[in-house]
Amino acid sequence: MNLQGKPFYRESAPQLWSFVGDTKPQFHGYRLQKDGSPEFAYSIGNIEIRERISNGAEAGSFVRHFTLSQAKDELRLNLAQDSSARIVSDKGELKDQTLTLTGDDTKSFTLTISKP
Amino acid sequence: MMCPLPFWIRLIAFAFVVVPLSSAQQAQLSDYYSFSKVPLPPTVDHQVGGLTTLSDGRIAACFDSGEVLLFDPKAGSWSEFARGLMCPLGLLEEPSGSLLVMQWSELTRLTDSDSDGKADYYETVCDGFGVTGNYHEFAYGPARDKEGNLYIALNLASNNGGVLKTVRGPWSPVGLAKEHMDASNGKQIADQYKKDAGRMYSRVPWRGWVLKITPEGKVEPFASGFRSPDGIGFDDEGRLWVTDNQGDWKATNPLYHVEKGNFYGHPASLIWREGWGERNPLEVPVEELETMRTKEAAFFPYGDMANSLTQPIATIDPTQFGLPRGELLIGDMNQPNLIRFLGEKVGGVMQGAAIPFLLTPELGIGNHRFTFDKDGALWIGKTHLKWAGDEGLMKVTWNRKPIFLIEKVKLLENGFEVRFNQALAEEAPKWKVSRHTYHYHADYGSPRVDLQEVELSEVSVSNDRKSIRLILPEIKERYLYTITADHARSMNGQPLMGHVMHYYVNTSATTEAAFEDLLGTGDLSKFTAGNKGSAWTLKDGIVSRGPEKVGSLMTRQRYKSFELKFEWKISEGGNSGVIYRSQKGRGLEYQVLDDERHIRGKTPNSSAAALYDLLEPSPDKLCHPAGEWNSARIVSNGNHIEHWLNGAKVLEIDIGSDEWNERFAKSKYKGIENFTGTESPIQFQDHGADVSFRNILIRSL
Repeated sequence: MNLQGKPFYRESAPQLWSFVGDTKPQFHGYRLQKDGSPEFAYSIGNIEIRERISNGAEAGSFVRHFTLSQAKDELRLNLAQDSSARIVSDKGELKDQTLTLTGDDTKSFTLTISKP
Repeated sequence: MMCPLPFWIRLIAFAFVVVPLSSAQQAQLSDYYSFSKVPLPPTVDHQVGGLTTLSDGRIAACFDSGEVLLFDPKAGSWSEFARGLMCPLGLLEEPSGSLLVMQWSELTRLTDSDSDGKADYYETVCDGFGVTGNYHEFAYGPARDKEGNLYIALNLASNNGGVLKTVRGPWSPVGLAKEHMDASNGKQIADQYKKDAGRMYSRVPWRGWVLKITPEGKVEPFASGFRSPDGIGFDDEGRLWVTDNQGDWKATNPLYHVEKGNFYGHPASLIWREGWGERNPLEVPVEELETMRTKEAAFFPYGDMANSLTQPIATIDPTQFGLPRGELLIGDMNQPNLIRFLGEKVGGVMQGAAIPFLLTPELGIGNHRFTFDKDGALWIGKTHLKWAGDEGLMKVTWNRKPIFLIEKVKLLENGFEVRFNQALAEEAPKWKVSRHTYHYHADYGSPRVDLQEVELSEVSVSNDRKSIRLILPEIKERYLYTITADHARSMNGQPLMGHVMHYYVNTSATTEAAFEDLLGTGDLSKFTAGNKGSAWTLKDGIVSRGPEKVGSLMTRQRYKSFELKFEWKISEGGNSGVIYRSQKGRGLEYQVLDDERHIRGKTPNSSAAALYDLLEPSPDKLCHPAGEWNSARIVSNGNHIEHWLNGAKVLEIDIGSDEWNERFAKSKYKGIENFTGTESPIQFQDHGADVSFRNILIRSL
């Protein structure tokens, strides 16, 4: 596999979910969408997560689409990055690289990540 | 009634001079099978990792480039079912129609949920094992048992390569710290750490293991000690078989009958054994490992027969592919050879003969994965994975011409019985026997040790000319016997297909030293004589009931798992038996009978050597008439029961098996609680007839 271009964003699942008590992710597989792109399914503790990735509206950006189940209470995600990629969430409050979502927000939200 | 005819015609065999055969003297495979290449789409890497026949008759194949393709035989076309898989090395259809595929790092279920002909759901079934990034961590399977459990087999890593800094699973630091490996970053390990790692290593869980995955998804470590187990499959009887590859701790290519909890020889995997602790498995003395390991069911001599064994597949209906049912066919990467394995259970242990079958350049090499299609043709997927081998897909079709072949190879106490599916020609084959053994050690492979020709003491042929008995001066355990039948032809002139047999004697029918001679004291002190006195007589080593009813002769010691050998002689019209694992006199019984004159001799399951009222002996049993001695052997090993007569096993059954349950329900014993479940004295029955026994030898198992 050859990487094209320079990575501007790196993340591992445990890091993103590091505020969740049991942060060891369990991968369950993926479902192909009509366009052939995968929607990944995994769980962190009791939280079931489905995630897919699409191109962003701006050049050099992409969108992570999350759908969560079983997250009834407020949830915080760790978006700390070594790089200076710009991250925007369509739900919740993003402050000091921590995204805080209400229980309702977690049902479906997106993160848009763009080149600095 | 004893077998009334003089069944065997004896021939004395002397040393034979073996003459190399021209190809014309051996079976021409092209007379019986056609070999055709199946075109593959140019868009995929033609190395086949997995192959299976779907319930609708299509063929599914997975390829090294990560695709699963489906072949429709009617349309003659391929379609893509899935892609993006990593090093898929096994395929299996589920009852639901989904496909299971074994990838490098997980077992995946592929489901076409919208019925468009392509998988859209790639579901992780099992990733409960470690992955380090080492190049040698291949994963094989799955195989499915009758209860729906899945089994997969995992390679060890090789010290020809290192590991990635991030690995999946906990790292075992025993003998080697992770930081020493980190510098390799998946490439070469520094030379000073290679020895510590071990030639092949298991630093994350379950490398070198077979895992069981329950229908509920629970992962259970099942068996350990494997090195590179590229073949895993079940036979018709529900036995799990795994092949391994020659290398360190693997003298040559072995086939294992795999059972839960057993250790199959490569120590690296022991680190993950429950309760193992901090001991470095590579420092365990060989002698200790030797006592721990389960021995091979078969050896395939390196270079001669196979270099890297692949998948075992159970044979199908003989009318479809020409081979008897109940065998295994096994492939090899380096030689143009498909090998038959004819197994038998001896002393509760599976072992048997490996016989080259499709040995022809037309087959080619790299024969990796197999499936029989609905019409009985054998599909062969080839690979090389950058080692020796080939690529592509081949179809082998039997042309329905009957084949002259070996049907059975049976170990006798002092030799072998070889049974053919057709009568042998009058001109006898030239028999040659050699034997050798192997070292069990950390070195790569083993030379042939103590290789020697074995002079045949006697060769005898049965009246129907379908069986040959080869009598040797002795049978040595842990030796591989190579038996060659040159110039073997059937009565109608057909050459024998597969004239070389390699029989690995894991355990023999005799291990005299371990037996206790129950008459060795010269009296009957090891017996009680039933409830009617003690009038059995012992004279010249022969114990006889005499003319009057005296009650049965019973051992003082109680037995459940044991091996008993004895000789018996029944009077004309007589009936007796040897009863074991009994309650109140009712238990399993080795029938002792004059088959010819006693009415029970007309019913197979009450004839001589039968497991009385439960299981009949083989119809071709060799049985001497009333007034002559017969040798007998009973193996009662846990749930496994065998009866032998005159050196040949005539029946076997496993208590609790489907067959057992069916027979028990129809027997006179039905309804007896805990039948066979207890130890008991062994009872030499007084059934009102004159009967004699001698050479009563027993050992507990």
